[in-house]
Amino acid sequence: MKNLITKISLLLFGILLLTGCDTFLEEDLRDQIATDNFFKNDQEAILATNGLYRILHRGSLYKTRGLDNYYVNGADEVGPSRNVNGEIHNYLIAEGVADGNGTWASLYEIVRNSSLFITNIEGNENLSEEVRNRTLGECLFIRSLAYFHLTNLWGDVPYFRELLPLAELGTLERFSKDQIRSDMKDDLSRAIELLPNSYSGGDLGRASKWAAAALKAKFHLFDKEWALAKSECDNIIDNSPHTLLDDFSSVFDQSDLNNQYNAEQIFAIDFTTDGLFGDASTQRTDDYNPRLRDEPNNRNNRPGGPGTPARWELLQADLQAVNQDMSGFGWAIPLPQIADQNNWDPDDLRYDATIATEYLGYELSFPYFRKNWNLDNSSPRQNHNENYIVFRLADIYLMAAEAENELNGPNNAFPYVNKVRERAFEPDKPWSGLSQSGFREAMYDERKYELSTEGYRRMDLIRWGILLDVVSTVEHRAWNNPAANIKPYHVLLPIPQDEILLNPNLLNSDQTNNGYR
Amino acid sequence: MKRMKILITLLLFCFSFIPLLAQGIVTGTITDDSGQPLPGVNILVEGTNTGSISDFDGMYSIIGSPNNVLQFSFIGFITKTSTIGNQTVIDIILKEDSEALDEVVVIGYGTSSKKTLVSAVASIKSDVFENQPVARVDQALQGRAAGVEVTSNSGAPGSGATIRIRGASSINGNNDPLFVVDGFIAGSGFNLNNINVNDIESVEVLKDATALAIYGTRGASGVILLSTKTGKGLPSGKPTIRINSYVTTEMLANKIEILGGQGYVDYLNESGQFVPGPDVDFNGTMLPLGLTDASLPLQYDDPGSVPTTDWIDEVSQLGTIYNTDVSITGNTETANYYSSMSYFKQEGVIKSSGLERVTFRNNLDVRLTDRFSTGVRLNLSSFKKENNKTNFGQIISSVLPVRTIFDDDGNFTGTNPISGSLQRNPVADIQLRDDHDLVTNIIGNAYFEYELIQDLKIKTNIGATLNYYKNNQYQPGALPERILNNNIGGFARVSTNQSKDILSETTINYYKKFGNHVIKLLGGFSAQKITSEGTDASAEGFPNDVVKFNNLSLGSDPESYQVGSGYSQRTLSSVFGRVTYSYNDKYVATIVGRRDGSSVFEEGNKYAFFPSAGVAWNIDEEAFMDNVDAINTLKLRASFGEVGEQGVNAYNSFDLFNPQFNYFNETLVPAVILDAPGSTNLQWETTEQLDLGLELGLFNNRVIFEAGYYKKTTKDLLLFRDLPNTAGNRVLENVGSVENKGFEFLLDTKNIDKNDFRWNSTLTVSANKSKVLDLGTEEFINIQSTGNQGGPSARLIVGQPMPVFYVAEYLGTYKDPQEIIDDQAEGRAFLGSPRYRDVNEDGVINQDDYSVAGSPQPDFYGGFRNTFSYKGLSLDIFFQGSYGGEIFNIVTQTSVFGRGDENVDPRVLDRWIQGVNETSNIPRAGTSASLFNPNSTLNVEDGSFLRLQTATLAYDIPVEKVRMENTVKSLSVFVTGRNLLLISDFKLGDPEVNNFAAGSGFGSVSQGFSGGAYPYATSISVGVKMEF
Repeated sequence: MKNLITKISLLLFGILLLTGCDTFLEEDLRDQIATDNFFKNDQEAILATNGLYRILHRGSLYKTRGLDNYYVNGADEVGPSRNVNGEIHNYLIAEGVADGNGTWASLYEIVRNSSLFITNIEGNENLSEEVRNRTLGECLFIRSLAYFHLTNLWGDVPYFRELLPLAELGTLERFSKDQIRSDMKDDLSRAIELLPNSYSGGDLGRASKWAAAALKAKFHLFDKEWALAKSECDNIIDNSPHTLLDDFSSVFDQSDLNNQYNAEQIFAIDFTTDGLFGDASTQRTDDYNPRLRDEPNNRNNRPGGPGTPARWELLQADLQAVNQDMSGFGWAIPLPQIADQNNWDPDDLRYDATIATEYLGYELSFPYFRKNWNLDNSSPRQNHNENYIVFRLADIYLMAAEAENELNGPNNAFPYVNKVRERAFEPDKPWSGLSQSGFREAMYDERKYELSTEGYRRMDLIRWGILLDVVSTVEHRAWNNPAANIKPYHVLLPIPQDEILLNPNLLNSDQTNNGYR
Repeated sequence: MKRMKILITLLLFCFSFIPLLAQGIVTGTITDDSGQPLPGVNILVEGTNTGSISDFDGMYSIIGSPNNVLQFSFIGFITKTSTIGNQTVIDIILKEDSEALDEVVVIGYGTSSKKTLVSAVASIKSDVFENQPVARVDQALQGRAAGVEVTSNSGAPGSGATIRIRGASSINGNNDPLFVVDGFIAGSGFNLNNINVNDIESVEVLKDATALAIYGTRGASGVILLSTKTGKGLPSGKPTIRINSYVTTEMLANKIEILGGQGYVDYLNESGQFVPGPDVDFNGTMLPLGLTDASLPLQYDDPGSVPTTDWIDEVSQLGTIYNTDVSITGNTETANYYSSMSYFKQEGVIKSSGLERVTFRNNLDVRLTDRFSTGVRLNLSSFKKENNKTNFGQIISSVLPVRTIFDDDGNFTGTNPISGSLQRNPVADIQLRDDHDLVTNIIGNAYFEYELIQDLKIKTNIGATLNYYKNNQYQPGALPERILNNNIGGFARVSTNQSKDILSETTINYYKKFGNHVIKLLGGFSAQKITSEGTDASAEGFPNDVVKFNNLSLGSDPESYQVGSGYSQRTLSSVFGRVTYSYNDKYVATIVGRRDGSSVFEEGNKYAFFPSAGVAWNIDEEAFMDNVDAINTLKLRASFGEVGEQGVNAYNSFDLFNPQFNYFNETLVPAVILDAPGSTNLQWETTEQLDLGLELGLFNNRVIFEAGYYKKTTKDLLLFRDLPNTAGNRVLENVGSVENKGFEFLLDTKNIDKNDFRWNSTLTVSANKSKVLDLGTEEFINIQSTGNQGGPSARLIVGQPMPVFYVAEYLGTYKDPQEIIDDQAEGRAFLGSPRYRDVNEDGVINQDDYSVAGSPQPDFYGGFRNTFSYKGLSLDIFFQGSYGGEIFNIVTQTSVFGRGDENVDPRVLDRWIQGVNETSNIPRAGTSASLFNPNSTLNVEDGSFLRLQTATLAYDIPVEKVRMENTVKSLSVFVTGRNLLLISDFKLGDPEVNNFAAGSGFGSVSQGFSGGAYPYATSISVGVKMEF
């Protein structure tokens, strides 16, 4: 009896030991999606592509002064209303200081994601042809946009087109900017083929073939491939459904949430107010909005005498009466010269649509970009809905004009620029009789007035080779003095310090790190 | 009914018939060596259920037959047997069992006498934490055990402490000790709120490899064994009923100073009028030296009318704790039991925070037969934790004194009046928000033990922890941030989690004594499965605040519904064993090992073996010590071995998508983005530990001194390697290595030991030094980047302690334009602006210029307890402290360098002011408003402190004298003060802080960051303890 119990017990013990094997220790993943188990149907391909648009919302790109730090600021349009963002406005950029690390990270996040998606979508028989083409086109477009920014800002950068093993991705050297851009133009040609002509309803905000064409035109123009730039612009002007609006200011009017898109916009990053996730709304508007603590002029004056409300309190009350407030940051106000109407053509209607120096009868302490502000207090601080317009048709006209002028001289370029000026002046002030170089230099100002703060000014100055000259001579407010610091190498950013620490190969091709060392 | 009675009578008759054959009554007296009668001795007729117990005079009687053997057993004495034969009177003298008298220490899967223990185990008995006004036992362990550093992170009711046993040995893995509750492996994340402190009999802290290796992969951070009370060893007979009750008043302690009023307004106005220009020609160089531009608007043109709100006062209150527990415990011949229930209620010193809890415990051991015993340990708890509604850190850092609670219309203010940004209103938070956790927890074990053959026992233990968690939140539409964000109506959120942790363990124990040799063997198998399932849902647009979180579907905005759920599982399967051999109690050797398999590793890497061995030598047992009267105990211990840490989350090796959303034209669509890449080929982290110990007892053990030295080396550390952004975010690798070594001292003295006056002292001092040995290909890892300006603030650096603060050196202010030129800081610096050492002289202050500025690790820490007793009166005073660690004050950047839209430290009253105070090293207002303003040596402060942690005065009322002996067995009253005095130089309140979550990850090594945690209280409790 005793023996039996012993044996049974030992047997049980042994069985318990054995049950501990194999299946018991298997990982049981139930609540997450593994990447190797995806792209099985249309919906999954669309989900993935939506992710790329999501990344474009990051603060380091379009939500706030991510790309704008290097595209809008540091040129001749925008400065802060006080001593903020000094590294950018005073050209104190160095490795580890405003070196664009976050922007770099988000752009490569796009490259990694889109490359994985492209590999999986291309030739995937599980997808319908329509969705396969569209999503592939969107991925190709957004990846090209990422490489566009990367090569604009850093020149030669690490380059890959598929998600290589981690060890390889982490040790890449810088790669020829020209080759990358050449590949991207090819990719965009494909995207133009694959993408639809237009979208409607809940798909507005996706990239159409015209978005891809506009980006391709930008590439060509920046790379001084005038003929290709011209033909791409012509293609958009002639064949796309996009048209110029009659009224300049209505291009930027996004006050009606249900009608934010218009015929002139070719591609926009869609922001919304009260969104479900943090990056859903834009914070860029806050930079353009005034802050009440600065406004209005003589704000502490009490017009009714001692004991009566100060001017700022009066303004606040008047704003509240129309459901508005001034709760912005004031980080992006017009520099003195662009703010001064004397520097504009007196008949340029765009001045009033662009600049505000008084409001509700109050003279303001600072000028503001009326074009970008939104004082509506139902869209409060850091929760604005304004889409970031990346490409619009007027820009395409001006690009076509510029390319034509470089290619064949001004004669056939006038109609393009005059098309844009037509709505801008009352009475009309078309261009004529300019020399090729006169046309070129007139375009420096024309693009400034038409496209101020729209994200291309600094790159325009760089490609024209006049950044240093302009930044050193343009008037700044007391707290900024970029002229003292700007150097020729500032046309590019240094490869970010954090990135070099993790991947020293990035110095192989250029030990000076774009001149910053 | 009647038939039943007949049946029972018949049955009883049958049973009584059998022993009738040859039975007789045996009587006798049981005494000890000195002839003193021993009451309560168990007398058992071997092989039967017949038993008896000696009475108050040591007398007993029992019925037995001549061939029966009587067994006499009594705790602390050697069991004796006697065959009845023809005796009718058997007098017995029981000898004291010297081993049993020795302290018994609980260890993994068993117990050991302290004398034959090879391991380093700190044992804390219940008198240390009993009736302390704390909800969790960890809050009472501070300074009590050598080598155990306990840091209370927050004063919030129900919040835990960070416990580091012999230092932190993992970087990304877990650094919290493993909790084992009555043998159930409850994990390192076990919520101690579930255990009533007064149910705990002892807390054992396992520290060295021989003690820890039996817990294999979960032992590397140390193990804390909680043993709850049982009736074992109590004299048989009537149950004992105990009632404990106390009430506590808590007051906010060490309030943080914030500059308000005129001083603040001056700073703010000065800051607003500072402009970097104009350029001044200095030695041929144009320098913007900074000036005051009086034309710039003043924020407060009428400083006299500035409001002052003391936000800390507004949100704080006197806290209270009320605790009562009742227990009933007893022992019979075949069973012992302990049952208790308790009620604990705390209202915190911050309004609307608190904890309300009930617990029930039932411990039962039953000896079914000679060979078969069974028992249960069952704990039920249910608590509601009112989470802190306000963000206290924000009150400290940025809710300005010039902000009013209400605006002119009587509505809550919702913005920072200076910056204009949206900011929560702390008073509105407290009045309007709902946020509480509801937890119901069951932790239970049942065991069956069977003696297979003589000395060989097999035991199966099945245990489970079931935890039900629910968090309810509601933010009504009236909250100012909701109004200002145009969120219409209220917001409600409900999260639940339910976890199930099942453990099955079977062990075999063998104990054999032959001659002077004793062998103990333990072998076992264990399998554990932990699953956790959660849901999360929220809705918005509640038109009124009636249903709140109780009915999410009444949120009127269906588009805003959010739902989520999750599942995770991990399994462990293990075999383990331990062999202990001792010779004559003089020489002891132990070998321990555990082979663990864990689901979180990939195929091929799942299993690992952790062995360990140790020896002990009781020198006092040697013949040559016989003549050394002064020394009663002298023992040397040494052990070496390996323990592990699994260090990774489940599903780590998968490449995953991160679910996201996006909007197109106001339409919400789902999206996915690549998550961090999966980490492949991971293994266990392994900690090797050498432990040396000395135990010395002098003068009849009136002086006990214990010293320990250890050296732990942890290798194959799982480290996140930051990837360049071209490759992704980061991956885990087994690359690093860290070392912890240290000394531990315990001095326990009976200073005075008179009959009616006793004075005992216990001093523990521990010193741990950690060092990062290897970080793979990295020379350092940035583990924190605090403050609003970026850049690292704490790093792990090879060769340095873990971690170190890593900052720029603050040199004071610029006082001479030439310094600006020398630093190439034109445009970046002004007279009176902060100056940092530009180590590489490149004109830019960045990470290249940072250096090590201290470590949060103290040089030593400890506790000093003195207990005095005079007749029924006793006084227990406990000091606890830490010396030599640094604290990182996160708020410094804004409070000393700020621009006035965040709170400023009263230190700025002494700032640099042109023409007034140009020698000051506190920067001029406004100069660093927009420039890169790195973390600096000014953030790093001395964190040493000494605290009068507890003082208890208790009085045992002599029940006979007050004629209450018939009502109560004993009665005592006590007064306890906690956190009565703090000596420290720290500028932001209490230095005992930890802004980052403990547990695992960088947070667990980023100790010593202070940003204004829930403040600590000083408390006074009054209580009564009764026994019936």
